[in-house]
Amino acid sequence: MTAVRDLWIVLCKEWLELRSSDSGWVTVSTLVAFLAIAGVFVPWQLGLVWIDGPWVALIWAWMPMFLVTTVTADSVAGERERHTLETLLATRLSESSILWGKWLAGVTWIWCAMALCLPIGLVTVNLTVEGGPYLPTMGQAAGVLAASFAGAGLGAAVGVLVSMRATSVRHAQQILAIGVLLIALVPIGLLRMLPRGWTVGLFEALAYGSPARLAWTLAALLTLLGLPVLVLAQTRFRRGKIPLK
Amino acid sequence: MAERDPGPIQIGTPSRCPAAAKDPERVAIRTWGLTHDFPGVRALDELDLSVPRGSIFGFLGRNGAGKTTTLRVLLGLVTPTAGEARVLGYDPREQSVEIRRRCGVLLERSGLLDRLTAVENLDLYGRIFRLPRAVRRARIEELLGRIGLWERRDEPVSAWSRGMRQRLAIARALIHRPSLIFLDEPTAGLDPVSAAEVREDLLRLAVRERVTVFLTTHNLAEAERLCDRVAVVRRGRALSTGAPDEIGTRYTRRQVRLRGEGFTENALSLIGERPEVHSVEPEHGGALVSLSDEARVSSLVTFLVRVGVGLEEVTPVGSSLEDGVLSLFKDEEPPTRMAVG
Repeated sequence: MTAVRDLWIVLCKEWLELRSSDSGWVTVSTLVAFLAIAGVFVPWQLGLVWIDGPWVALIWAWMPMFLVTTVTADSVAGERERHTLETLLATRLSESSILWGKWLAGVTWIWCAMALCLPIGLVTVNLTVEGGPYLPTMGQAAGVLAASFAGAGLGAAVGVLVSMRATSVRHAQQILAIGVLLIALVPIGLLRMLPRGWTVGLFEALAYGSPARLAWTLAALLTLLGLPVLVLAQTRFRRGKIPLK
Repeated sequence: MAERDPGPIQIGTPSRCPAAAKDPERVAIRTWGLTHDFPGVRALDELDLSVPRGSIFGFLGRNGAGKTTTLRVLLGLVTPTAGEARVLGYDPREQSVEIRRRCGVLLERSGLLDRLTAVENLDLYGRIFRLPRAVRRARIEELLGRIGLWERRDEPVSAWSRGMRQRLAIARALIHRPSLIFLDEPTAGLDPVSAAEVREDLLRLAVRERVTVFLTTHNLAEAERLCDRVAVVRRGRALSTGAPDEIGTRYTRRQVRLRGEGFTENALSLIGERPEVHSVEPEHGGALVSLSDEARVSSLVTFLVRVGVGLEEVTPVGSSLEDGVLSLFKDEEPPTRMAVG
């Protein structure tokens, strides 16, 4: 119970800082722009595929993974730059509460934005495609939201881990930008190395498979990838181990 | 589930520990041979300290003397390489959470969240230290009122001057009524007026809250004004501990100022040859004489009268903390390595 309360305090602190950032209005306009693109433009362009296309789950997972790094790059390195990290570590809060609070702040911030895209996107598709109403199954909707959460979780875990060791926020952002690029490019390279039969099978699953099953598989896979990163971050986030300057 | 307080450590107290140090009611901080090595650098070198409860204790030293490292070790932010410490009876190695729960800190920088207002900053730390909402509100109003910042409570602190931020950070350190506060150079980089305001607030709050203050500084005048006891540290080792005026007199020669007529060159030369005199400096209408150890002023006065000096006034000259510390550091060899402070 104590740990949960402490985690909540850190989460509130992070939200408060995000809300009160110097570029507060920039944050809001970015969110509006994001919703306009991911919630309106993309569903409008994809039409029904946005609802029943299995590969769309990839967008739901990849987008938060990328976006969350912009928040978590600041999580530790930013506090170090602003000279607030040591004061926070000098309180009674446990390392786990601080780490998980920072992680969860990034995840929830981005995941909430992604979750908002779902109703907005559904409205967009139903307004632009005739013959509706078109709705995803409950399993499918929950699946894409789970994939989003898992993607944001993995991105946030990597973000916090990198931010912990980076010398500055800029340094963290540079490393994470390369990481995001690798996430996009490495699978392409790996696909070329797979036997042809496997590649065909994968593409068939992406094109004709069950959207819900694919979304949940993706969520499980990203969770499996994210957990060890989080555990690694937790073992590294120790008073006495974290550089304070 | 309520958190369990394991209580001050009862076992494993080092054998070198005197009886008083075992009693956390009387001693706030005690260290025995505290040592900390950074790669290639010894930052703390068998540091022995004793800080009485309720005192304002000054930890003095030059940049890189190990002051900040000591503070980090005592707060459990850094694990010492060797030695033992007790803070409020707790071991920083094993019970650092208990220490941090009972201590307030103002580190090298204020550590305030710039984007938040004064109230939000204090409220956050009040929440961290588990103060109920009503208590937090009352405490914030009380502290901001005392440091004269209540009217500006809703401004983001990013726009504030460094002095105001430091005062707010001191208030933040006191929000949960800690038994002990650590202040790392609280007036460093402030203009004289702001520094005086910070000192005034600090003194007023410390006395009112009956809190033990562990203050690191290299401002000797500040230490003399604020502290009940000081420790002078050099390269991670305590050179001397005591009341500021004790340090002043312990490490400087006794001096007397002589006023009168007849302090000619010849007379000064004769004074300088006396066994009770260590050195003599001519001054307008007299001389400033540094006495040798155990010298008696009366024999010098007798001698002066005999050689025909018209002595009108003999005044003992008090030694300041600065005199004592400078004297302690005078024979310091140029450092071959720089400790991380």
